[in-house]
Amino acid sequence: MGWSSSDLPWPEFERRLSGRPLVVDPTTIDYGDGSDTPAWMRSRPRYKPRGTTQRPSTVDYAELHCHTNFSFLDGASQPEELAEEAYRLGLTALAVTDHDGFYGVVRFAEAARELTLPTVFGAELSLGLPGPQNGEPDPVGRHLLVLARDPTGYAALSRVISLAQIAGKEKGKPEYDLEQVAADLRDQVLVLTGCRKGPVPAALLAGGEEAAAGELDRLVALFGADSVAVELTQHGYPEDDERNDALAVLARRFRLPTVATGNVHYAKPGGYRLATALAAIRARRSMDELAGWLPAAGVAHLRSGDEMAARFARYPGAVTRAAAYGAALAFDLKLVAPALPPGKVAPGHTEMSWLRHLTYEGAVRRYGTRADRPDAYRQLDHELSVIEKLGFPGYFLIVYDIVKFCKDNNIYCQGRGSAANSAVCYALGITNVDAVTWGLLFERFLAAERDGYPDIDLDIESDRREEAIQYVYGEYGRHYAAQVANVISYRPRSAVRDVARAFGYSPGQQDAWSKQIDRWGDTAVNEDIPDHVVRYANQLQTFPRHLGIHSGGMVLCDRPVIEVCPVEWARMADRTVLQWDKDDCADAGLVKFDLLGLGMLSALHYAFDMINSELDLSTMPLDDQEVYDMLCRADSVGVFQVESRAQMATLPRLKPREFYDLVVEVALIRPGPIQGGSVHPYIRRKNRREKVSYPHPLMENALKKTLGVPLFQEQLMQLAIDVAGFNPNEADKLRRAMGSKRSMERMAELKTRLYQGMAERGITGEVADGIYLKLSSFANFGFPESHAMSFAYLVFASAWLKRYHPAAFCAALLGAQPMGFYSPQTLVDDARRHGVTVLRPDINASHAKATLVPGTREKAGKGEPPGQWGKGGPAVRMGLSSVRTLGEDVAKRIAEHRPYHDMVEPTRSPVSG
Amino acid sequence: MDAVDELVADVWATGLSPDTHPAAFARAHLDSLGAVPIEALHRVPDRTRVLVGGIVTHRQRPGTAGGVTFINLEDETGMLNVTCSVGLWQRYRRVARTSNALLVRGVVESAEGVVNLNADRLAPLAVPVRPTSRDFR
Repeated sequence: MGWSSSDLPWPEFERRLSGRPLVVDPTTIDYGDGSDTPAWMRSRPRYKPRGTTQRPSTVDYAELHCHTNFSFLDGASQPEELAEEAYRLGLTALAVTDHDGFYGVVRFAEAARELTLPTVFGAELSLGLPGPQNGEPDPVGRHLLVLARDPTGYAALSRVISLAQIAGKEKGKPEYDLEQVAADLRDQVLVLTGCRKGPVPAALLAGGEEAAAGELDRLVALFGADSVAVELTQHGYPEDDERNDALAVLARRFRLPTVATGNVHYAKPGGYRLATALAAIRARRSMDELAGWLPAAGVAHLRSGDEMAARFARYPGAVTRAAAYGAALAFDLKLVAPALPPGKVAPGHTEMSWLRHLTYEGAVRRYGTRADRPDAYRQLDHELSVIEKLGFPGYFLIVYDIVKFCKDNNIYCQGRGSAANSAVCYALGITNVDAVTWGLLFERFLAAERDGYPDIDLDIESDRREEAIQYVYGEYGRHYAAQVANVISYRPRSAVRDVARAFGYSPGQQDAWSKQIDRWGDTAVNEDIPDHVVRYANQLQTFPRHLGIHSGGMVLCDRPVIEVCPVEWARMADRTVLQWDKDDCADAGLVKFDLLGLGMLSALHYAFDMINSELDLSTMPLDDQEVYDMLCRADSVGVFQVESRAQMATLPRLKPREFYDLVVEVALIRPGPIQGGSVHPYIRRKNRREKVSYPHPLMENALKKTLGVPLFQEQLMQLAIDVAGFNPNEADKLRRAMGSKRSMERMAELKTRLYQGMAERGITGEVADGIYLKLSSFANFGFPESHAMSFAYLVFASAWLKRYHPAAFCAALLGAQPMGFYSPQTLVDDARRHGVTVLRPDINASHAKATLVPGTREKAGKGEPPGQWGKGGPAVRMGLSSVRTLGEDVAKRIAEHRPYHDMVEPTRSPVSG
Repeated sequence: MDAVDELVADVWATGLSPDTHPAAFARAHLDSLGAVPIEALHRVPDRTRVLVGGIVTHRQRPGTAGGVTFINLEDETGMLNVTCSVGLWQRYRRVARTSNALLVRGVVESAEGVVNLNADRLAPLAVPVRPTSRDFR
């Protein structure tokens, strides 16, 4: 989302904001993760080399066949570990060749770039798979090892993998047509004959030299003699020399080069044990059961040129040829960042003129005419000129198009995050926060010197988000649009369960152990799980297990996205997903749109439908004190964002009395400061237990609305403008430099500039240091004010419903499940405590979802005690889908065919269908 | 069907009981032990040691809380936040982790309208149904 929880512990943060003495510059320290709510997504930290020293080798060698742990459960080392070990051994290049994909290449390329290790990209294609191979002791099918010659080859290979994955119609079962693969890849890749499952060695084993010759002849015919090399591997097995000899003979006969590889599955010899455990996990049986298929020793690790030369002395040239291929095939994966597809415009318009047209059209609705609101129009003109200068109109048109689709189809949606800083987004209807009236800083969203697209994340009511996603697929096509993957790692429980199975413990025992583990932290704290299980489970925890779908990230490209990153089927119907996660996509320069599902928007939609009204944030009675009274009592079960235990513990202290208090509440009350034992200075000041003061009078302008305590990123920028004379663009640069840790150099430059600016205004010494420290402390913690504001509207809307329409509120929340902090039981209990009657599902009265049964009055009156709100009002009738084993579909069908005269009737067609 | 049968049937069929709370069925037992209903805790002076019983709805251990575990306890009158120190959790870990309803002895911390219970003993509480809690999400 573009901001994240900082690495700074909360108590430390509180100490700094309170202005107590400082110790270290926070941009130089690196604490563990402090993220504690789902909104705080973490980005992968940038790879830092660990200062490995290189061991020179007298023989040049490049490893061309190497699996990372993204060959899910068939590789036992992280891409970074392999790059480091290759560097340490003095390899001249390293190839990554995972099964049917480019999963780990971005991470691998990033690490290798830091280590100055040349990189080769390839994949091992699985030919002739009858089905997904997890659980097979010895996966069937033939392997074809292909290495891209250059970026064009990479794109072609990516495309081939994608098409095969899509053709397979199932996750984990790509379907290649070898002739077509060869036609698509000819002259763009190098083909190696592969491991024992390669077509040539397999034919050699099954049918002898002539059979192998036949396969080799076919490969040469398909890919060309210049593009095939005979691969020799030497793992010390009895048959290795015999096979290599036969392959070398074949190579001579076909005048093909031989090339040595290590068929690597882990970085160092010690990885063997974990690799063995992984093999057992993949085959879903114990290591004992799998013993016959397991390699005999730890041999599939990276080896230096010298070691390879000794192993392959019988085949002169095979090792140096690997180095030569490595040099020829290596390239840096700095893919040309793809652009966006063209936005939709009316005939006779350019993207920019159309955006301008739509913006001013919307502005009339939002602001009136130019004469009515010159300030708003001035801001719109300014924003449009920035958008034009940066060349981003297409981006806005695409977001507008998605929002328009939602509106046309009556789907609640609103932009979240910093988009609400923009008057253009407000005019286009992308956000509901009026940036001009609230005085929000546009540059937080889009600064003129920004190098990448801004983030516009859309919250869509969760029950209908799928429609928006399918619309994007439909509009742009599966080859141009794809969803971002989420790499699912092992959790402690699943790691213990799988490792226990690999060690042969009974299913009952696996369950017992895994149940002992809190879904949190390290497994090592547990008492009666054997050491070896804990040890391997801990190793496994950092490993990717499979790919999931990211909660809403979609990537759009002007060229087929499948040429940038392979696409495969997700487990969910009709979803195709990239093989990269959001960090990978960002590194590769892909533009991501987040279409997030928000349960509360669904709930609000249901509720407003039930009370025959329409959610309109602009007409909400934002000063209704009865609503704030309720929140001050922490009577907030079900209310958006402020219902959790930690927030309930602070509502009575923060005492929200006006809309802006809710904005602060959303930004401030995250579990950290409360549970971390530190009461925030803001709460002390709000309760007048501490004087509101400013370290320097120039800071008052920026900090006044939050009682002198910086909370928002916009305030950081405003401070830089006020105390050091930055312009808004520079201020945004400062915010981003402070928020990343990647840019020490740029930071140093800006720091000098900041101190200079402050000195010019007479701020020096300790006060200047104090300001700098405050800025850097909350660069990460700070919430965008605009985001807090978008959310605060939903807080108010849901709180208002709870206060005046408790029955509709409860029924809507039940209909939007699963969502929120509390279970349906708690929601119903809470409604009951507010005087609402909840009725059991009734086959002749219930719909699929919960509904209202009219009462004697429509809404709760003012001034009533909480227990009376629901009295006399509508009752909640639980929905049929809440009944165990009845899904939404069956519940709908039952409801459609009412009434029933007996209990047998619903089991007959057409209900039972 | 008596009230308990109805409760069990409701929870079995729909996951919740629309007109009673499972803790209400333990109220007689809780009263005999001298346990305080959650709603009444607002009127208990700060730093008083009390006994409270209820259903466990959440267990949480936020990364920023230094190993402290929070239990959300609910009875027919309201909800309560229970703080469990690292030591206490260790001492009662099986009870704390596996019981779906708990009898908690602890000290009331009441300030500015926020009530919290600092637990010093945990014991299982028998209720007629086994609602599931949301743990460590």
